[in-house]
Amino acid sequence: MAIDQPGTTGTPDADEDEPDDIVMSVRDARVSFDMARGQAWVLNDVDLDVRRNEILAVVGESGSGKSMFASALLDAVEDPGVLGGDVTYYPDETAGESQTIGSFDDGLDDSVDVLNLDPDELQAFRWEKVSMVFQGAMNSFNPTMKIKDHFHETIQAHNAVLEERMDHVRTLFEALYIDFDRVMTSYPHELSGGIKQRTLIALALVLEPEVLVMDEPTAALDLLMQRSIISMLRNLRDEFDLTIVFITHDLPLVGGLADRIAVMYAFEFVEVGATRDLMKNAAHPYTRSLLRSVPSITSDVDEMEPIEGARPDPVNIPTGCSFHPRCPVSDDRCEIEDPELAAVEDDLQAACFYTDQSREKIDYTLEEEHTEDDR
Amino acid sequence: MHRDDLETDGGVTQESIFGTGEDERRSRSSPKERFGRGFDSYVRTPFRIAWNDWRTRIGGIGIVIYLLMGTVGVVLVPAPTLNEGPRYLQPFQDWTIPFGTDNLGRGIFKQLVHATPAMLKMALAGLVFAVGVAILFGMIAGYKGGLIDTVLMTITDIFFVLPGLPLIIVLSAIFTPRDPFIVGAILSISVWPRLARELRSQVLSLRTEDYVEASRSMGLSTPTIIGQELMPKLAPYILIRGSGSAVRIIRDSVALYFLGILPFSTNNWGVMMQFAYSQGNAISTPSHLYWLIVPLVALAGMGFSLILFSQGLDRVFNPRLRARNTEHGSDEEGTGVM
Amino acid sequence: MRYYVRRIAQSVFTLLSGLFLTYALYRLIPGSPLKAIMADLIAQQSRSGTVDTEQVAEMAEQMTGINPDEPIIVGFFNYVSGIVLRGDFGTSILYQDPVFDILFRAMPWSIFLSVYGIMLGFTASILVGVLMAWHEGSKLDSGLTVLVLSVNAIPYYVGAIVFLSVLAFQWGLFPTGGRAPRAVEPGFNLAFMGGILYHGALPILSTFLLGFGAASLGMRANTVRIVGSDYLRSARLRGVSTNRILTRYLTRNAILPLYTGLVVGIGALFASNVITEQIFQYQGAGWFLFESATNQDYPLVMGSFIFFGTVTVLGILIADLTYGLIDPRAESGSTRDTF
Repeated sequence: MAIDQPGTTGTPDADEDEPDDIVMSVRDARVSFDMARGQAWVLNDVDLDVRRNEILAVVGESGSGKSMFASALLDAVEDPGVLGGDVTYYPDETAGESQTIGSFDDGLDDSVDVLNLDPDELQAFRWEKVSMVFQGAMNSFNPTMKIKDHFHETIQAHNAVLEERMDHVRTLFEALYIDFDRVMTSYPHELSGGIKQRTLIALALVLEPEVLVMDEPTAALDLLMQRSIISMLRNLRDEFDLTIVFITHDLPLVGGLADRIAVMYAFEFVEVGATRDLMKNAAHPYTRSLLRSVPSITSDVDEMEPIEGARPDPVNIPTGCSFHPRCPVSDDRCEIEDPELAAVEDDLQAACFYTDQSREKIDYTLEEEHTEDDR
Repeated sequence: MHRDDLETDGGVTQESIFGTGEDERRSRSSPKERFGRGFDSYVRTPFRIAWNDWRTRIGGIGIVIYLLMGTVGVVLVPAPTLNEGPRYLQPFQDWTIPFGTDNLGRGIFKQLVHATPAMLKMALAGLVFAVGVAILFGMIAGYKGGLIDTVLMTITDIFFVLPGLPLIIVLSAIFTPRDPFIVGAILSISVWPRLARELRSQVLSLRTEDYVEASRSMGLSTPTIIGQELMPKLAPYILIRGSGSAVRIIRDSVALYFLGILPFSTNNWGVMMQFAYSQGNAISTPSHLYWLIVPLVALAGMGFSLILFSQGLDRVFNPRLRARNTEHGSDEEGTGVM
Repeated sequence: MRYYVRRIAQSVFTLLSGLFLTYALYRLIPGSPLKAIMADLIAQQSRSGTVDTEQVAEMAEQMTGINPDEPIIVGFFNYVSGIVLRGDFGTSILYQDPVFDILFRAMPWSIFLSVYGIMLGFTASILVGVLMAWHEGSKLDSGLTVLVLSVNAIPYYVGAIVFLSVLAFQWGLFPTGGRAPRAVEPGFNLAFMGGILYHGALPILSTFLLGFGAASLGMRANTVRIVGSDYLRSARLRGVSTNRILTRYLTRNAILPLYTGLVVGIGALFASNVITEQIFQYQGAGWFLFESATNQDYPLVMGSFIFFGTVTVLGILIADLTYGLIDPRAESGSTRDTF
């Protein structure tokens, strides 16, 4: 059972000696659903901590379970999937007077068992404490409703004060470079993809949650728009005291944004650590292969190195270490034993027996851009 | 790699069943192999899938029953004769005359069976005309666009606007048709405009697809494009809507016969009902009601079977619905959600 | 604005063309009412003495409004201008009353039946559809599906016949025909109003059945699709109440594809009044159409035809022009396909 060891938090201003402030922790989370062929596990007993005010990137291929993980944080796994395990939320003790905007009452408790909230509490918890931005901003708005109605109904559903909230929305819109008057009175189909995506972010922040989960928020956008949203996110985190969990398949994209990265493969976390450490010298063979396979503008097409093999089937996950069939440094032990996340360095854990060999054998170089620290 | 080394994937992909097969690579295989594959994809697999769905199964059985009644049944069951039983015999009393007799002692069951061919003819004629004219007008208008579209649609609209039932009543009063085929054809007038409009919509959305443009730029003629590219895609839709039209036509015909608008010719269920009403006073005389109800049930049954069948057909043609439920499909499709 | 004008002009044109077709048919066919009447009159006259063919021809012309020497187009033009300029729809041969008067009195009754029946039927149908989708997969869903399929499978006149036979004749719960109680003084008094409702109950019930199945399965399918959509998931996570989701999200969006069909269908359903009114001997516009058609009462047939045709055209027009009101994504209609 791997638990994050105390270490530095992500924000540059944190004190070296301060213990970790964890805002959410996930233990033994699993999602399964029944198929005609058998039971499929799409999240396989994962553990992870989310530190307060960090930007945590969860990286994995399509179908690796990362969206399931994101949904688990809000207890929002859809039928027929069944979520089990523990998801705990820790309210901010340093906040002083109760931070509650809306109906959720976290005053007395120092932790909230998310998966066992009753329906009313859960409804309040979602969006007031933890909110989410999905993939596909195109379809996240009701086509027959104006944008402002979306905001109003959310505010009213949580019994918050309309005027006060809408003032906050104005601030949000400013930070996101959206024209308040124009967008509020528009219908979704009248807005471009980039504006819709940013509006969705504002909608997720309307009740000033602690944690924002973003599932591939930039997947459908063009490169320039992607970059601009990424840079906005850091500002948002700083200005509004957020924690951001950013789900993506694009590892290089978050190299410059995230404080920590958690890599998923076959519905489990295989490597978790500080961005700089992980990107510079990853420990797990999968991460290293991923980094190696990133195409670059300068290299030749023939030089591309994809990862051999096919991704695992949720009904038939390989025995032992789930990456072993495709791993260049695996051996017989990997076929039988399943490695747990273990510390490799101060702020880097990997689920592998042969991290040294993997670092030796699998070579990759990073483009200058990714190691550039543009903070 | 030599072209001859390319092989087809051998299996039956979803695309190949009712798509245009553009996903498969064409290669050389013997006619026998091709026939076997064709049979598999066009007959055996859809049949098996259809059988698996309770709706197509029950509906299909119903349709077959009616078809048998109208063809084989007419031969097996003797024609009704006068006074073969006491008048107004109640149903289920005498098992040689299962549904009782009418005012002249003729067996109702026998009448029912012998009336079926006329109904089938009407349904067929109506179906063929409605679908045929709709395809002609709708698909050509949708595909060609421009002036042809405007002209064809204006004509369609005129017929659309004419209130169906009143028009048919008027026409029947004028022409007094007797042949079931002609009746079916006339009745299709109230049905084909809507079908044509719907087909046109479908074609409009299809014609912007890439493969149509490709065919056009290759110089394929309009009939070829419509026949080879568009038809297979629309076939399911046509089948389903077509059976809906057939049901409507049969019902309308029974209604009109019942009301005495359509003149008596060969015996059919509507005519039976008309006699029950006029000569048996079935509505006001409860003991005679069965004479009215029996053909009514036959009618309802036929409609029910057709509708059920076409609903089940929807599932046959919808690959994603199938894939999620099949156990023999490939794993790719099974995971679907992921 | 130009689009509206164009659409209305188009509708008028289609209506007129349809009318012209019918008019021409009547003039051209062999068993024309003209000849039938002439034959009648000749038979009449020959009984009482000499036959004056010219007088007969004149009388026949007067009664039917058809002048056989006049070309069809001119005749049609005269007919239409008679309507537009003088409100003269001709005189009914059967009833010897102006067609307009007859229909004018009969129209409200037909509208009464149709409006209530169809409105109730559609509303119920939509609600059932959403209900089925909301509880998708449950026993309620399957049960309701069976119910809807059964209702769909039964032709509406069957329902009418069974109601009439069982509820009216056998059990005497409802009157067996007619529009209003005969013994009561017509007027706005309670007894008369009640009587109208009483007489209208069964026909409305039949029409209700007719409209019932229409939208259910379509609503169900559309609603199920929306239930799986992203914006619905977003609404649920944001805490939007179930009530609001059912109305503002599900129903409102699921209806869109069905809207045009429904409104147009209203016009079409009106026409099936003909049969319902016959069965219940309810003297509405449909009943008159039937009677006039079977009795070759040519002016009345044309008049009734105009009534039903206009309703259908209005239905299509309204559907087309109002769609943009309920779907903000629709352009004001110029490029959109009507059906």
